[in-house]
Amino acid sequence: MARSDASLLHQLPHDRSGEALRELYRRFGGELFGFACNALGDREAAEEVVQDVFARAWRQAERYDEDRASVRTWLFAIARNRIVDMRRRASARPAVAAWPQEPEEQAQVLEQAVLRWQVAAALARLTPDHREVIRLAHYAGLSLREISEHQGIPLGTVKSRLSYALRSLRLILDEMGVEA
Amino acid sequence: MRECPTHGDLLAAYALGALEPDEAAAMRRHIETCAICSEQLPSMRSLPGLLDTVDMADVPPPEPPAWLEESLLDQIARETPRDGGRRERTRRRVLAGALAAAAAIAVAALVIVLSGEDEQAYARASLGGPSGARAYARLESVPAGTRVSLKAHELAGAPGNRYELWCIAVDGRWVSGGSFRAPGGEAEVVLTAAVGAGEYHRIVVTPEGTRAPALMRGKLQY
Repeated sequence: MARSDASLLHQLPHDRSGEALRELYRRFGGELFGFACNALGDREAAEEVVQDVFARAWRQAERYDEDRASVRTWLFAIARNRIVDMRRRASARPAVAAWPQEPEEQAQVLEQAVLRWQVAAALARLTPDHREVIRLAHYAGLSLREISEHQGIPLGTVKSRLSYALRSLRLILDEMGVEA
Repeated sequence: MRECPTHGDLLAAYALGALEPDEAAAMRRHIETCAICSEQLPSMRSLPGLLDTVDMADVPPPEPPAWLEESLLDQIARETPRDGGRRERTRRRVLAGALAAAAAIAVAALVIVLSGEDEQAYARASLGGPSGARAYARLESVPAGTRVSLKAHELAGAPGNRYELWCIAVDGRWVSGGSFRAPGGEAEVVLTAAVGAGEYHRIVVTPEGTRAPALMRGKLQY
């Protein structure tokens, strides 16, 4: 059976093989990276953030309290702090996009970045057919009938495909904990 | 998820606004009388708003480069002896009364030896490249500038396997750290570049004697 996130984290200080860290990285590295990319708009800076998050998690694993937050929440909190630091440093440079001063607004921007990553990741998990029908119905604003004509597919097929596509998307988002 | 047997496959299209006006009106009337559809509508209704947060061009979302995992594990492996040193120190405090001063000094010396290597580095960098090349660099101050200890893996793409390391100064100058060979793509070298801490933020490895193409690059972490 797969080990829980918390038990992997607790194992970090005693794990010389690096396996626990590797496993945690594989579980959360991708989404932390996507989140950091989104929040910073810079891949290299995002790489730095991710590496730092795990290095800090490894050094501070003893501070993690299972009763207070999930491992995911804890790692994202470390990432958020790192991103805020980086944005503060970067804001000295004029090229960087505006970054709100208020901690509350900053939190909001970061929440949006997490959400964007989650929705993009959920869409990526759909089949290409399902993604395409969502693209046509939502982003291109076509009706079922127009999609059917545009794609040369029977109306009934379009109807059930869009229905399956959105139900799958909803399920994946539910699994990720996206409630809205 | 339960599905309404008559209108279940229209609910998604309705929530997305993809029905023709007459179908949408009929669906609206149906939902008022159908327990299943009215229960499922809210979770479908939130989807358009969620979809609006992303651009289809951002799908799939960016993935971290493959070398990042190894570079992280390298970093932790290097820090591990230091942690051992810290634990030694804690234990020493507990036993302080009982231990002879000489033993304490020996432990302290051990701490210095174990952590010494890392204490000298003022920065480090993980490098990666498009073809899978990756490296880890430690940067220390020496009178001549910066000593770069570089450990590279899967480095390829230079004639004769000869490479050059560059430090990119904040004013845009490329300062060469010298050249090296990487037989079989592997290299463990120590080079010196005429730059100091804070004067540069990036390291690039190219084929020897040229600035392009960058076979791998990395940002300094001070």
